[in-house]
Amino acid sequence: MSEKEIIKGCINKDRKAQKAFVETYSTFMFSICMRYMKAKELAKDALQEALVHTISNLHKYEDQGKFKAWLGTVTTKKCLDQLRKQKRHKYSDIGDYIEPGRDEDITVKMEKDSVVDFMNKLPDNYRISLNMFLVEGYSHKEIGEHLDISESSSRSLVSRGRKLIKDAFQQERLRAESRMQPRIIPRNQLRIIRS
Amino acid sequence: MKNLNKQEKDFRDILQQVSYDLDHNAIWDDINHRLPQKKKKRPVWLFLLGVIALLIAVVLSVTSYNNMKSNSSIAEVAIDDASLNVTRGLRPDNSNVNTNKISDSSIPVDVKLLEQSVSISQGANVQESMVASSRSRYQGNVINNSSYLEKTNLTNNTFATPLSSIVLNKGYNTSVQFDNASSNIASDISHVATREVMPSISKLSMFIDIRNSQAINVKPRMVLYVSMDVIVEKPTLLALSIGSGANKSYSSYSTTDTRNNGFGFENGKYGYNLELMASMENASGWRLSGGLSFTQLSYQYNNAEQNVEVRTDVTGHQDFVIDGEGNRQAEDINAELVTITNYDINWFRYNRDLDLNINLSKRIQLNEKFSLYPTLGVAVNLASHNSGYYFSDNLYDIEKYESQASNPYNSRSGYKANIGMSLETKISKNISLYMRPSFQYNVSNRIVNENYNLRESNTNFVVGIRYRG
Repeated sequence: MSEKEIIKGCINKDRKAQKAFVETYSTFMFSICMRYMKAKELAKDALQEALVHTISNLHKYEDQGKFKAWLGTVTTKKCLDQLRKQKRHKYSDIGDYIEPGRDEDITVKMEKDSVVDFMNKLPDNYRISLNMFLVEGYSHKEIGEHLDISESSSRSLVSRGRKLIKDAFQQERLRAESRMQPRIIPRNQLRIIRS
Repeated sequence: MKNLNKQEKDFRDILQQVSYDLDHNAIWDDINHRLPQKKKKRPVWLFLLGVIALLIAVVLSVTSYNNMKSNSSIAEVAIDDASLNVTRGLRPDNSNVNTNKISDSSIPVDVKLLEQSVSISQGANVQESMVASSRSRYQGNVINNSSYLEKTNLTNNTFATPLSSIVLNKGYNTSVQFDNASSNIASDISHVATREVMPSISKLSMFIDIRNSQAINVKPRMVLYVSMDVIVEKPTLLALSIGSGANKSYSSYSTTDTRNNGFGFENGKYGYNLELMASMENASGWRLSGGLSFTQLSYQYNNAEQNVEVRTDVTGHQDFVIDGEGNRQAEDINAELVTITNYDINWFRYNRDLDLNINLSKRIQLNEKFSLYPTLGVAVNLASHNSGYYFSDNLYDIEKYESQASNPYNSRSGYKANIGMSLETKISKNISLYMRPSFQYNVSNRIVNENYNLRESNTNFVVGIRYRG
């Protein structure tokens, strides 16, 4: 079924269209949920809430932009609602805002697993605000409204997060450089193997 | 995205590309029941089928009730006049039971001990033995086809038996003591009536609560089942009745005039009544009714004389004779006046009254089907139409008239009092027939006259039909 058919069918409460919606968009929505929730079970709960909400409220989608973008926005909001319900986050105003560095002259690329691992290791407030800023494209004002913090706090969180990303890249670079150089073995540790 | 460096863009791209394997079917199973669904349009025929099934169920339940026969294989047992406990709810654990008390004297009851069975169980499984004994009882009970017995709880031994066709009105306590060589058991059995909703007849279920004084495992146990058959009349909010009948009129006159009068030639005749009444009745049997009645009272004036000859000597008359000389001579003579009377009067007069009636009566329940209602009432005339004749001022002559305007009758005949006794019988749940002899006296004067007062009375006999909503 095409996107339009799925949307129209879901508005008409057609079961086939609803199932097609789940099959088509749940993967995309789940990846968003995983970015926010970190734990798989929590992400599944958030996904279910997001699916039920979007399918039930598809009539509110007014075809103004990309459907996936709208879907992403709704899913993000549902994830934030879930996080708020769990009361796992207490956002508070943090310190000074640090301007991130630009155009680093490093060509190192991080692997996907490393990126995911890095994000999962971040404290929740950093992870959430980085996701919202970097990936979803929310402004600091919007982040502040959703997380119930000030705009300046959002800037601080994001900037520190970006610094952490920068540090992560730095470490990855160092790791990469160390892999390229031969290891110098002290002579007394050499084992001579005679045939 | 604004002000992102290359690293951050790469970071973002990687995050956006991350995907996970998902079991879509499992997700669908988890959420599909929460999704909005199209309302299924039920076909109209299904709705009609439901209505028909409901009507059949109502008819069957009414029919089964009307066909109920009590099985009095056991001799009748007199029940003490104790307070009536009415309990609602059939929960085994008594959790939803409300208790109301109704005074016995206010409810006419007919109590018979329907059946009494005793079963003794031996063994550890008390529950099964109780269930088995109750089943054997109900199989033998022709009037009960839809009851059930829930299993008892060993700790409180409470169960409920809703009996669809047995009504119970009274509760009493029975203490059963069973003593044998192996155990001492004391069981207190209290019967509490549970009332179900029925339109006109209360059907009450029996709720048996058995509490054992001690926990018994493998010991003999006695279970006593008692049911009773009672009919209870519920208060009536509104009933309509329509009746018709005949009446016989009597008129009475009072006058200070000592002259002979012609009232003695008037006789009351037969007329007819129609009535339309509404009534309400409380649980005690007091009924207040009001409505309209139309009555025609008839009277006949019958007076006849045939060839009645009356001779009267008359004096003072003279006759004239002429003597031989041609002279007129007057002579006193004796004469006799003969009067012959001949008449036959047979006239009718009719008084047609439209009255507003208010009656008060009290039910005396004779048996299940018949009840008596002694009645007292007052009526006020709303309109009256009279035709025929009226007695003239000389109290003897009667005068015919053609129009209402030229007669001395009042346009309204005033107030009336009545007393009667109604016999009512139920022919179905909502419908009953009645017959009512009564006597009505017109308190007010029907005619305007300085010389006499005309008051009328009549006896009535009305039959009618009453529908109770």
